[in-house]
Amino acid sequence: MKEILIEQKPLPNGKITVVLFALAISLLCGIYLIGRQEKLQEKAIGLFHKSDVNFSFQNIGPDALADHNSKLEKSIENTSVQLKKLLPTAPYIVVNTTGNDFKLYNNRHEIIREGLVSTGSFTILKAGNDKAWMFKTPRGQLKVLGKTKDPVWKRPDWAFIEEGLKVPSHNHPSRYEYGTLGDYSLNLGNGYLIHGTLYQRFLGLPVTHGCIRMGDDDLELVFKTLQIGSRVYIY
Amino acid sequence: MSTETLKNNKMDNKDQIWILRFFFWFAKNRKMQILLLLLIFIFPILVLINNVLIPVANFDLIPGQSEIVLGVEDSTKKESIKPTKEQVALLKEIFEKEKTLAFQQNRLLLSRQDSIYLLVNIPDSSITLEIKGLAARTCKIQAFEISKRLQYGQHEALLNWLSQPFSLEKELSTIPKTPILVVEAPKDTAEAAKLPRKPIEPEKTFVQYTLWFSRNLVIEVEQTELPNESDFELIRQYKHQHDSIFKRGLIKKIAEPMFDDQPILIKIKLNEADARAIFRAMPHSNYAKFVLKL
Repeated sequence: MKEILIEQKPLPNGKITVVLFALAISLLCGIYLIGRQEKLQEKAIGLFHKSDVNFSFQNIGPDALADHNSKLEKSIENTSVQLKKLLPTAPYIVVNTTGNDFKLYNNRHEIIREGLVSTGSFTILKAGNDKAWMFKTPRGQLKVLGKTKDPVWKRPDWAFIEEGLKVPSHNHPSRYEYGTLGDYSLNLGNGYLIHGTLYQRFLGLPVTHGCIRMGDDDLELVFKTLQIGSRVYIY
Repeated sequence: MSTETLKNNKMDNKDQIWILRFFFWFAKNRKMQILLLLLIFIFPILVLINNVLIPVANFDLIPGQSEIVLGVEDSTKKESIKPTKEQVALLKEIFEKEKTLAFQQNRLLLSRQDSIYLLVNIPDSSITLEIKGLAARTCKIQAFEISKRLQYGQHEALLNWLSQPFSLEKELSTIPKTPILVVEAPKDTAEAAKLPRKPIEPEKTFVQYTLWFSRNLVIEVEQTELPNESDFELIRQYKHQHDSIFKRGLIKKIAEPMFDDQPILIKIKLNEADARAIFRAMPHSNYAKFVLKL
């Protein structure tokens, strides 16, 4: 009885409710799609764009295809030769300052030794307002400028300042330290060296003032393999 | 029971009856059901047409593509011979060679500079840090996602786009470029003795970064390893900053569905050590150069 009554009575605002309800859902869906429009656009690219070889075919010219291809081959060969010329012909070393490791290569670009190093700590030492030092290892391609057996470390000013000591005169005996740099050192210029260390337990960590520290055995092989002029790649 | 509660109960009953009546009325009314469906699809269809289909159809997939294609069309209007199967195969070979040549020429150009540069070779799935022509570190790309714009772009436009190295303009990362520690010099040996002697362990935070290059190229790099719980806040902050740069408002999206400088996105996944080493080794913006091979 109740159902019949419900059906028979006219429903006020029924149409308006349907329209408003539909429009509200429609609007929400629309907003959702706008939110994702970049993804939809990316998906729609394949519908409208096709990489058309005709343009290139007409551009090169039907008769010139083979000629163009052989010219390209020659150019690639030429650039490959030029790129090969850039590679070192003597042994070289690659140092990674993020992972604090190294790879030593022979002249055939084969790895002959890999291991851990310590590189710059990225510490800034501030001494008052006017002086500061940043302890970082330089990056890029460097060269071995000199090789020394049983090197002596001439301590720079920062080595005294960071220990709270007074900076002595330029050639004061306290500046010279024996044995700190290990058995060998390779000079990379601007005061940067590859050398040994008393702190072997810190190998693999960024602890130095910019130099590259190595373990004793690795250092010996590097010293014997690299010659003056050998390339040192640091990244 | 108070009169107010009685009134409320009566109102609730009225509402329930109206909703019941509405559903019965709607279930029997086929016209209303069709109207509802039609109206629901109005906005989504409008959005799809206005914000997706029309803009995509008219968009230059590669910056400057329309000028290059029009130029080729003008110069070749008289001839309209279609290539044979063999010619199409040769053309595809030529395309690959042209891309290889552009890649090698860019490497040669950058090898003359002192700074470290980055090579991304999509066909080989590799990223290389190169110093003066020597591959200092080559990393395997674990996974990548490349914009369809690079797949469907016209070859001539793509070649033109790839013909010069890209320059880094902006970067955003979860890790600092250089983990700098500032130390004040001790006043005396007693103060120096108090300073910590133990070296700081290398950070292990989650690596994720976005690099904005010239010519609208954007590279997003993420480590493959899952993040630790302690990194969640860091990642949230990174994503918030990332979205504030990338996301556009609703009105802006409606007014300009696709804009000329829309980024051409490449997403790359690398292992943690590779992702970190590459970010740290790349020089700062403007000096960092990048060569892409597709």
